[in-house]
Amino acid sequence: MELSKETLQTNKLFEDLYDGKQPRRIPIVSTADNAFCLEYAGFNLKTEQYSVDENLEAIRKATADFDCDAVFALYARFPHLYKILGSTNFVPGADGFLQHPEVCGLEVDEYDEFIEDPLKTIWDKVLPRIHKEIGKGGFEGQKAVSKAYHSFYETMGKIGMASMQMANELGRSTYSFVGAISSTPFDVLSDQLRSFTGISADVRRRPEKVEAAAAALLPLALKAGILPHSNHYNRTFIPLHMGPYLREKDFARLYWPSFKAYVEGLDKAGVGANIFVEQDWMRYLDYLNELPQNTTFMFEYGDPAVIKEKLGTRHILTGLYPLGILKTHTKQECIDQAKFLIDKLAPGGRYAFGFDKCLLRLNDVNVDNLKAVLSFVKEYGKY
Amino acid sequence: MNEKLKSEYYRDLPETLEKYEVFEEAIPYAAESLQGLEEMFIGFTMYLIV
Repeated sequence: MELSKETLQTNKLFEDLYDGKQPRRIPIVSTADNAFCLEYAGFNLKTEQYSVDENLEAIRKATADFDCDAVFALYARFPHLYKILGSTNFVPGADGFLQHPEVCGLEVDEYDEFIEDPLKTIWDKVLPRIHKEIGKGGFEGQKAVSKAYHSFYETMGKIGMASMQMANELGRSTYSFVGAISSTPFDVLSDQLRSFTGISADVRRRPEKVEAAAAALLPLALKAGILPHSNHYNRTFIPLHMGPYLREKDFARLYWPSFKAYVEGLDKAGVGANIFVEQDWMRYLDYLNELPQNTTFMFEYGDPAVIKEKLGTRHILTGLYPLGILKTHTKQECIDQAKFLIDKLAPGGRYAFGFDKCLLRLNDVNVDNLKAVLSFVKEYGKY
Repeated sequence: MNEKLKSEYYRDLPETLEKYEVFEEAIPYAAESLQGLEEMFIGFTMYLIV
């Protein structure tokens, strides 16, 4: 595909950003959910969210209407696929929005076999528990896996192609903030294998198993985090979860080594990391600073001045804009907050404007305030 | 820390070529069509647990 002049210019913003150079203006990233776009486009989550085409139409409308520098939404959860699999990890709520109940796919007495061969244990034990159609085994199980595999890659292919086209047509960047997604090994182990409750007990009662299991997951995390199109600009998105819930000595022993090895493994393969620092990581800033240069950190919480001082000369910062005020505050107050953050974080470059959370639902914001803030940043953010 | 995937349920390129008894001269053509799917299977697996 031949890229338009506008898209090439927008791509240059991100190339400069990720290369540690000061771009001509502050790039604006978006981490909205496709559910927001569906509701913004007037669709219903109970119905249209099952159609890939309707999702893409909604994302295109939001990308055209909201003046970010990339395709506006992340479309990573496929309700049709979860239905095919009888999934228990993502289920639609009463209004259709996908909820993520706590699941426990790995029993505590299965640590040893998991450490020995994680992939085998995932297929033999974990997936049949989390996805009920796989658990049926026999023809029904094989059929479910076949349909899901086909559906997954067909959907991903459609999204990739449509995202490139809409970015090029609308002058947005073809680099995605979320070129691939893969959690840290510890978070993979805790989120859906052992569960929050299970891992919290394991950290105290069997830390040696947790340590070995996280290390055993590293090769799988790297495989998932490095796709054919991954590179320094098409980066891998890593949402961090469990770190803030750990004592520092547990973090240092159980979370950090495989997390660091994971990001370094991406870097060695030439793939950049965009890390969503969920919850409060202020006590771990010195650890984060050790990660490969020009790693991007999207912060949910924290003191912007301290974050800038600790990480801002070596890494790339985004996030921190409190999404919630777009619903509760006046337009001017919302703009003032953007100005405050830009004044703190933008000097010298290495900063992209972004929100502290993913924008999930239409009701989460006043869209007029959102549009006003984006317009302001585009103008005020010129270097 | 080990970065190389070893599993009873995964084959790297040499193992894949051996399993499917691919001629040596066909390796450049088989790498993507056979090994690519093996790698995609890992990506799919991880999607199901994150």
